[in-house]
Amino acid sequence: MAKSLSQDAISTILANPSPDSSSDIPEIIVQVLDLKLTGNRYTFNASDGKMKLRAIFPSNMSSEIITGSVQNKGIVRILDYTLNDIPNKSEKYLIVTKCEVVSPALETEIKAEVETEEHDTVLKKPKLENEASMAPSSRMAMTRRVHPLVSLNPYQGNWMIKVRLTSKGNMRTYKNARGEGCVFNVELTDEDGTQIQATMFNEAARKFYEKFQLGKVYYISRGTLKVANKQFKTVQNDYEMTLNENSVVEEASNEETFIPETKFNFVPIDQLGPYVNGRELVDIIGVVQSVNPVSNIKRKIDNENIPKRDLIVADETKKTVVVSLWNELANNIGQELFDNADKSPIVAIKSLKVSDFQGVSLSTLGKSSVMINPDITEAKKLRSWYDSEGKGSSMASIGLGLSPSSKTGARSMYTDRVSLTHITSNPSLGDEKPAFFSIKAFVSLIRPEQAMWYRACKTCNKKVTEAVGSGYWCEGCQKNDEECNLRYIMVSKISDTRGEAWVSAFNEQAEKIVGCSADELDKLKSEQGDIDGYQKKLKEATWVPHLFKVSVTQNEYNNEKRQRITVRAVAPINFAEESRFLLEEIKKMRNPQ
Amino acid sequence: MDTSSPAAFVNGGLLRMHVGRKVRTVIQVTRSDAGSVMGKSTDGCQLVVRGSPPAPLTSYVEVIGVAENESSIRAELWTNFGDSFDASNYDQLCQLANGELKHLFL
Repeated sequence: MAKSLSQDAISTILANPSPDSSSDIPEIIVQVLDLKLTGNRYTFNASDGKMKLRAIFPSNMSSEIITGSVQNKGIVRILDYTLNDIPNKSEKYLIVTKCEVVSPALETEIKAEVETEEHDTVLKKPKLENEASMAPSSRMAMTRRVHPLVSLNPYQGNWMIKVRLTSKGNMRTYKNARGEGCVFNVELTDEDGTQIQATMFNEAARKFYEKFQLGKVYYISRGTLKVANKQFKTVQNDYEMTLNENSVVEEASNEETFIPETKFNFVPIDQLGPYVNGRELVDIIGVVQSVNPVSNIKRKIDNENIPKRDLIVADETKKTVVVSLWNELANNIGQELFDNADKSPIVAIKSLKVSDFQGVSLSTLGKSSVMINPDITEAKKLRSWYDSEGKGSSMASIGLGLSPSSKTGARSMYTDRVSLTHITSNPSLGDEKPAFFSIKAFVSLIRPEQAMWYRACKTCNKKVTEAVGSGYWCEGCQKNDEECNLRYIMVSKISDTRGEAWVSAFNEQAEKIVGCSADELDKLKSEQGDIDGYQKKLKEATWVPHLFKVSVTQNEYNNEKRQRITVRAVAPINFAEESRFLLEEIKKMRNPQ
Repeated sequence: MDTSSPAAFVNGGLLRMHVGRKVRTVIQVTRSDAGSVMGKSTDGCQLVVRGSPPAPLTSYVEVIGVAENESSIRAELWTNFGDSFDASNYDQLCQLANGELKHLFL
């Protein structure tokens, strides 16, 4: 026998938002719909058959939901509650403080006898053709159902979402084998806070670019989903959306526009070094020193001409850096900066790529955004610093201190420079992915008795085994060879001013440490004579300083996690550069800011 | 040579602070004669160094001796420093060694 819901229960609740005590409350029996986990509490839509109300269960009910006492489409009796307003909206929100289960899940959503069509102010109702494939939804409802972003998947296209545009990218043009085109993307956020990136090409891009405005709320349907490309992911979502000319985008007129404040995380110019050539994007704020006219750069891949404009920016660290604005930014806001350069405006830029051109340089991407004289505290601070002392002081380009030297990789020997104790005292380094550092240290010990090399295939460098008969067998190449190479796999101790550590080095790096190849060292080892050439060679390699690039990872060994440091590059010390680096460090120590 | 007191690191501008005392500096040789060498200090001043320079002389030479006046040194020890040298680093060293960190040097 179907249990019945309290008639007009929702109206009753709405009429009495904060009952004084539970005795004040008449019997309120409602059906639980759209039960889902939001954060760490369960939310649902409470239905009395006529009206629905957004509601949330207390956290002490979560266990009952998990065990299945409270189920979606089930019936509960609300014993105590409070009704709250949702900020910025005209809706109310029911906070259930006490309730009990009346019945487990019913087959369907209960609807009152008189069918009332809910009037939503804006849209045509989409045809919900294949109700059965949508869970959990009612088969009888004729109202538009808005789906939470988290429920979308590529295999089912009949959805409508209600989202706020929380980020709008710049329009980019491209040329590939199939022709020319334009593209832009946006970030959409729904009520639950789930985010997804949506991309539009060509017709769709032109159609929706003006329509999509930052901060507004839209109803969107007829988009397609696909698995997100992890390399370019900007939001947390396994999927990303594409909208085409047939997609439907309608502004929700009864929603307020809420432009999320651009959250900046500024990096002082003199601390840009570690970001060079890395994946992480940076934000900067600085005073414009000069702006160049627009130039057109021919992109090698497709011969496309792209507008670019460089400007030089300085900050309180008394360092300057070149920022390249690309595409739209070069023309629009770039022109504004050009026209006002003599006023030395403050410019704040979000999402810049850091490259090693001329030491350090910054470039905008599609998602970068530029604000001139923003109304934020950092801008005010910069303005007063510049007007009082910055204007007159001499500034140096950050690139000069970190100028790239060529092939030796010496340039990168100054990024992420740490002392050995920074690595050895931090056992959790490298537990998810390898951590890279540069170190200046002396080789302090190479144990002569260790197995310093392995027999390697001349073709593929993999370990070979002694073949039956003569020669060596390579499992990888599936062939025999009379000869093999010896390749280093060496462990040595290195020491610096703070501490010491054991490191592993493979062939190329070990050769630089020892000063000869493994084959040559082996020859020395087997030589007869008064002088032990082998020991001498290793001794000569000891207490030699080098610049090392190392990776730190964690290995499990007998159920214990051990730190493993591997040498990735070895470079000789360039004394002039090293002195410059030390002088900078001394300066930093004397002026901690 | 009297080794009882350390030689102060100087450039052209700091030489006047140590007149009559033991100093050391690196200069870039501009002219060399039998009894003296003229050179540019790391901060761009013209200095005269009297004594017997080694032969041959490289572009950069370090001299240790007694400061005669603001722009000349009577050198007792000469050391060839080769043909490439980072003058800016040395200059910053001189400033540190005569400034806040003087107590580490003298």
